[in-house]
Amino acid sequence: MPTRVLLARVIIELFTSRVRVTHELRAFCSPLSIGEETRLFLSFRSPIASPAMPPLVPKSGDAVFASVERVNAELFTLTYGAIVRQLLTDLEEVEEVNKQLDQMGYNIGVRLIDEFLAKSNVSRCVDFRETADVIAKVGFKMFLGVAATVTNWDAEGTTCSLVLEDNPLVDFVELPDTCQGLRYCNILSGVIRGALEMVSMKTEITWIRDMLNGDDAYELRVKLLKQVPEEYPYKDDD
Amino acid sequence: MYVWHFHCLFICCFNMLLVNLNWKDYGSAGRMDTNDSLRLASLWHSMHAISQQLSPTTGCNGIDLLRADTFDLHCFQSLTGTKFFVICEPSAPYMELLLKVIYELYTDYVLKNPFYEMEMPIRCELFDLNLSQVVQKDRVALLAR
Repeated sequence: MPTRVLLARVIIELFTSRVRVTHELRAFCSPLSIGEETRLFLSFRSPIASPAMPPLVPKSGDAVFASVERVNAELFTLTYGAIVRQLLTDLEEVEEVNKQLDQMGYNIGVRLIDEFLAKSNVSRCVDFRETADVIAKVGFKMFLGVAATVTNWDAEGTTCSLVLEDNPLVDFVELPDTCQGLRYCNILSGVIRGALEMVSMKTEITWIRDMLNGDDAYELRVKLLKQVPEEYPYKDDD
Repeated sequence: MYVWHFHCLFICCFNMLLVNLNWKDYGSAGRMDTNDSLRLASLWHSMHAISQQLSPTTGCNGIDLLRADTFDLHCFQSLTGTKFFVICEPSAPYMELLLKVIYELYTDYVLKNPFYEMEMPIRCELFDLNLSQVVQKDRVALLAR
């Protein structure tokens, strides 16, 4: 309680010294001596949507996919193929190309997450299971047009596999013998890592199965390392 | 016919301890210069943070609305931590919807611009253009949404 009073006092000081307004103080901080010019009205609503705006319903993957503008799949596949080829020519080392693709994916992911949140209206996920489901059902569907499935949860619920049966990035692609070890779709792992980092989750993503190497599907192992909530530069010395 | 007079329209991007401010002024009454807007934004950032601790309700994510005699301040925070706020006439309707639309414009014209560096001031013409359109010309469309 004393902290609240102190904090409320600070708010009033900050605000009234700069902006000349008159508001009404909600009396959950009792006795507070304020000048007659300063009445501050702070209304705290519970996280349920206010009556002024209808609650935003999270859209399903199919609905979002249908509502966004789409591009020709071949153009997408060919462009990605050109990027990988160019990287191989420039960097020559397969491991370097993998790293570069991951970095590119990361840069895409940090920007993509806002678009994903804006267009799909998903609310904050309760736990990592929900996060993985949302990525697989809504995220992949919205951006790649194919939904993934979530399998192989570990005991703590921090690691799972995302399985893709169909992958638009690899249409028409066959890896030659000189490119063994190339993770062709590594951009996807970067995208997921970047996107999750912007919502305060540090993850590690590895490829388990790759159809270009002869497996039957694409499998990504997503491991949650830690949650890093935003830190504010003040301490509550209660 | 409802006429909107905005005093100011502010858009702020925050990431961790970095305060980065981008703001646009569509007001007819009272302009703010850069220093004032920076002051307001840092004030708001701190207040928003403090209010999360101050709130008597659980699961509070910060201040949504500040109502005063002469203005209203609506704030929207995305799940990535970016805050958008708008200062408008008291009881102006559909501000929350406007903030949602601005968020979508931000994701389209700012984030998808490959030459925009994250956390930097927004200097994207398309974004400015579409924003003015939404604020000034699409009033009827917004009311009808």
